[in-house]
Amino acid sequence: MECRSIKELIVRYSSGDLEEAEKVLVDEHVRDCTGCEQYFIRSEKLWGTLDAWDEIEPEGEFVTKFWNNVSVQENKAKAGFFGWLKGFKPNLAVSGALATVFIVGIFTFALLGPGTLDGVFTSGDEKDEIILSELDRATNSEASDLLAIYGPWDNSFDANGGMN
Amino acid sequence: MQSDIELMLRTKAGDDGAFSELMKRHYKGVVNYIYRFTNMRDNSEDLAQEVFLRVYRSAKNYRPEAKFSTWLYKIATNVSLTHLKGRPKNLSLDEIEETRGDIEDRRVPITDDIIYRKEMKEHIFKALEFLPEREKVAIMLCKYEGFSYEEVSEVLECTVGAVKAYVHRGRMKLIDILEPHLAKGGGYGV
Repeated sequence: MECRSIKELIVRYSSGDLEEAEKVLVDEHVRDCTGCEQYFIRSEKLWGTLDAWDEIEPEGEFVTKFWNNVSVQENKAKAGFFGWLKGFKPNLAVSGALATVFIVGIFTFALLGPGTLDGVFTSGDEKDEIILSELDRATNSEASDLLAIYGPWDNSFDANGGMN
Repeated sequence: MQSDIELMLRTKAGDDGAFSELMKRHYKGVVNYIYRFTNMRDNSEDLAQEVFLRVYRSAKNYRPEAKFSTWLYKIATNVSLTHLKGRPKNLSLDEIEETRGDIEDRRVPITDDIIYRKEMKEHIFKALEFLPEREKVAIMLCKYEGFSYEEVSEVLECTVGAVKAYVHRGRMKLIDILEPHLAKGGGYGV
């Protein structure tokens, strides 16, 4: 078996993940191969070497500190919008930017908003006006003729513009 | 003694005392796990607080499908990884020492053993940093937290076979990286 494959088995050996038959295979190879023997020693030492990194002892107040953090966060959440409003500090740059947007918005609305195009009167509109007034006049005379059967109607106007 | 799951279910029902009990059982392990993951002593307690805060906030949705500790360490891993990814890269040596909280207590005599352990800690951290994330997590949980392959597979959400592969590959890389220190002996090997 090649040394490369044996090294993989050595690591599994040290991890305790090797079958008995494979263990025998590794033992036999290591006995005759100095390089793999050294690798085997290093592999066996690795886990123990990692113990050189000591544990730390955390503060005894961990739990108390936790509940303090929880109540601080809950108070913050309760404060909500009014708390935010209370702590609001106007920022010059943001205020300037908002004012600029507001002014530009007003000008844009004044130029392009509804009603700004009412004053534009085209020749097409003029024709429409004539057609509508003719139609209005025709409708009025037709209505007068039809209503004549209920007459007599006096449609004359006095000099002052009032109806007699 | 009540199990972690029973305490978590009591927490879900609104019993904060049960959650205090859970924290007492696990906070030391979580702090040390984060410390070894980030190599920053000062931040590790704050990050552990964040881990427990997340667990507490999600207690309402807790379902006892997996072991509590695997869920806890999954959150601890995520918090540690997020912290490492957000940390500034170019710190001065003084800043590194400060954030790690490794400045010695002058009242304690500095022995060869302390110097050896401090040096080894740096070598081990650098070697672990060199590993891909999943190999690092698998090695750390198996070695330092005593997790079984099954438990690590729940944390990493993968098969047991994949966990074994991560551990074996990780161990092979660590043997190569730490070779000079393993050859010396140092008195901590098997």
